[in-house]
Amino acid sequence: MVGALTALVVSDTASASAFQLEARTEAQIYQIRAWRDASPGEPVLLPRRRIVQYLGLNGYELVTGQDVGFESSLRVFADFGLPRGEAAKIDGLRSEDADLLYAFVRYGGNGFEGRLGRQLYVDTADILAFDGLRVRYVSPLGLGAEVYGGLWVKGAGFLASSVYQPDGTRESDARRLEQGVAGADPTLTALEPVYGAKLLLEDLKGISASLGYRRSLVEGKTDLERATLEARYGRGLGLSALAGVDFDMLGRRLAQARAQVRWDGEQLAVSGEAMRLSPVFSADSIWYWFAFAPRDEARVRVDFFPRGPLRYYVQGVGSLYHTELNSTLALAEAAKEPGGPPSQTVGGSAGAALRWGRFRSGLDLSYRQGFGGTQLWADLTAGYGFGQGRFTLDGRLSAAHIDDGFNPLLAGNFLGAQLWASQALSRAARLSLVLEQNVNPFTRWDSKVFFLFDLKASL
Amino acid sequence: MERRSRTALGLVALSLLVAGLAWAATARERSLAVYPAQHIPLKFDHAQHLAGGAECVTCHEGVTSSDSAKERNLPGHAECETCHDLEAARKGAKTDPPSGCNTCHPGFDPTVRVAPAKVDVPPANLRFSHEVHVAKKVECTACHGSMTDVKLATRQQLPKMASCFECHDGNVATKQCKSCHPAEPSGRLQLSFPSGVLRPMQGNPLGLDHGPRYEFTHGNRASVDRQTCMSCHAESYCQSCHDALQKPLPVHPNDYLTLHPVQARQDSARCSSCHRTQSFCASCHERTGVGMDADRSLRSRNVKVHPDYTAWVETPGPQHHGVVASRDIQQCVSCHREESCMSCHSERSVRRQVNPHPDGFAAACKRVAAANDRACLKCHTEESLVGKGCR
Repeated sequence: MVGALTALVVSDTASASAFQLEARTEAQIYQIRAWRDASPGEPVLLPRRRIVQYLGLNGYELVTGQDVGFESSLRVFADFGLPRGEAAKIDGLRSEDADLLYAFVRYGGNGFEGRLGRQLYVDTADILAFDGLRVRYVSPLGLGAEVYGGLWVKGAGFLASSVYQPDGTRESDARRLEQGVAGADPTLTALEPVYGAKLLLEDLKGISASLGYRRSLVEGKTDLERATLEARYGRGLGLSALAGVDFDMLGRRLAQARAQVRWDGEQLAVSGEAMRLSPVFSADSIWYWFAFAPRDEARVRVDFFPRGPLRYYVQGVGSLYHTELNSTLALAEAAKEPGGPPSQTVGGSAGAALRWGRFRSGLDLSYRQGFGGTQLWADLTAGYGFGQGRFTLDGRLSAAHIDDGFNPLLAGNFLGAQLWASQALSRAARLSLVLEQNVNPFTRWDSKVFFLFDLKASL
Repeated sequence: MERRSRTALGLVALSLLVAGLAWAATARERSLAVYPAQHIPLKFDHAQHLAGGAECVTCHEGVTSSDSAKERNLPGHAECETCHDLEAARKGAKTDPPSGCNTCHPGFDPTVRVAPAKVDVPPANLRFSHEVHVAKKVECTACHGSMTDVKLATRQQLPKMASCFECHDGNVATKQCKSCHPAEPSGRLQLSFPSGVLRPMQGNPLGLDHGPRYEFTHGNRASVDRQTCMSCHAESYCQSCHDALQKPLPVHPNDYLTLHPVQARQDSARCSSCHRTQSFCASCHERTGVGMDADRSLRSRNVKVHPDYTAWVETPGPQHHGVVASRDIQQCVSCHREESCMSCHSERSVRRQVNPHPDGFAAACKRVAAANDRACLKCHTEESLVGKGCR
């Protein structure tokens, strides 16, 4: 593939093809608080010395006049603060690895779009990655369909990350199988075919909608089976709305639902959101079959943007945690007694953003209390671009008052400061250094250093 | 939280709102990425010229054949001289209308300076043809508004996208982003310009306003309407945060490693949009000695992160872990492995066999076991499943 690309890049033949290289080097140096063999008041600090290299290569219009191209992103990382021997004791932890985040070829035109390779797929049910084919066609009338299929990208796969793998199980039981642990599951690393389809309606008098189905299997048994319904409406300023429903066909229950209604004026926008959220577990996980309830959340937000450099927002948020217990258990009745954790959270946030020439700033205050504890945050950011923005200096001050509802160790005032200096080396390259200093009741002083090098160049 | 703190928070929020209202003015702001900042050291009165009988094309004649936004279409001395006798004024004659340099160039004295302050009106970063719009009989005022009350025209007289959408609604005219906004070779919109970054802003007619803290509110839009996101953003853009490896600096505030538990309990869905709990969360918790199922050499012996053991595990009551698990099971999954729960919730356990299933599960067990019985067999024997009627 590299040879073919090189040939294309250096080819003398006149072509509209464009190639792009995206790279980011990111180094992070800090320490993680741990309680291994430590007293609660004096945690030990574990080093994190991680370096991550992202490398993306993209090509567009490989055939002149045709929307044919490819996009790819590879991630290689190593944490020199995590000894290999230690990583080997912990499932899901790797001291170094390489992940192909995505790599696909694409063709588009005349309402048709096709992608072949490792790709991301996002809908109201989930974010997933699969190795396979996705084909989408929308007719000029706005009616269309989409089909896709392939192998779900799982942590134990080739150059694969577990980021978008169904949750609730280990990535792999290889370590436990090696140790002969009873109950270790060899199917966790099995290939997982996934396929799905959607009927599409695009922009019929401002309305777009889709009806979808997705199923995945492990060793011939259903791991996940979902149906989705998505809709949105928008026609210029004024009212716009979107909604999505994710129905778990295996569990025969509403898994997730989202609705957002927004009114946009010239100086004001008001939006309301309602959500029902549940975790996306694999059917291989015992937790999938446990009694657990979804969480409902509602948000109302007002954005105000007068003429000038400032804009503002105010938001209110509330959550309701449902309780679902097996009624045959003594706990079901006992749980109704007073004295338990609250079943809701309420809070809100307010903020302002300022943009004045090359100066930018933002202030956010947020507060939430109820289930899980209490949190009050204040976050102030400010930055300035010197010399046409070639050198930028940004700062961030955070103050938080936290009172964890379940862990009494986590309470108090936490202060942090971050300084971010960034220098453009050329139009394509930028170098950044970030220093973070925190003051907290546990470690008193806590320092972090981040180093970033970004490159985005046309070849 | 104390009442005083709450009052203080409320006052700060109220002050922000009041300050915003006080700042309010009547006009709308335009994106610098679309219309770069201008410097127009001129004195001009559109209202006066229109009242005097001038028409738009009298001064902006070039627009009828202009097919690019790069063309400024602004009048020069030649157009002004149609009415203003600049030559006579240069010789000191009194003219009507007045034609001296400082009529339009305030403060300019040609005996002191060679040239007046330069007018800087950079072209809009748009694909636009005046010629096409004029040919379709689109009135100037449809985009630029009425000029009968306007003196010097500025960026405020340039159209916002909402005006464009009055015709570009997909029926009368196309509403494809690329029909007006420059695109990159990838087909996505060009976002970065020397004058700024193109970002949907206030009053965006698609409801896409990327306002403050959009990183926390874009989820619903992105999950239902990803195609629209993709018209500007590549996969790499999304993955720069949804990466599950690196701390995304603009998203997680300072000292987030210490402070994340309360946020995680109150909005676990947000965590899981980037992090797989059994990989990212549980492994780190095991490494730091918080996870119960960690290798023995990694476990903490002195720290309890849960309330009193008796109330949490032994005594059925409102503080029992079952209540918390029922409300937010991800909280459990982010630290524990399945074996933790199976030690009491499995039929195979020698300790306890507490039924964790919801009401009505038994009636559906045959159907779900037929679809996938692997999880069943972690806790039940084959014989037990048969005995329960699940086979």
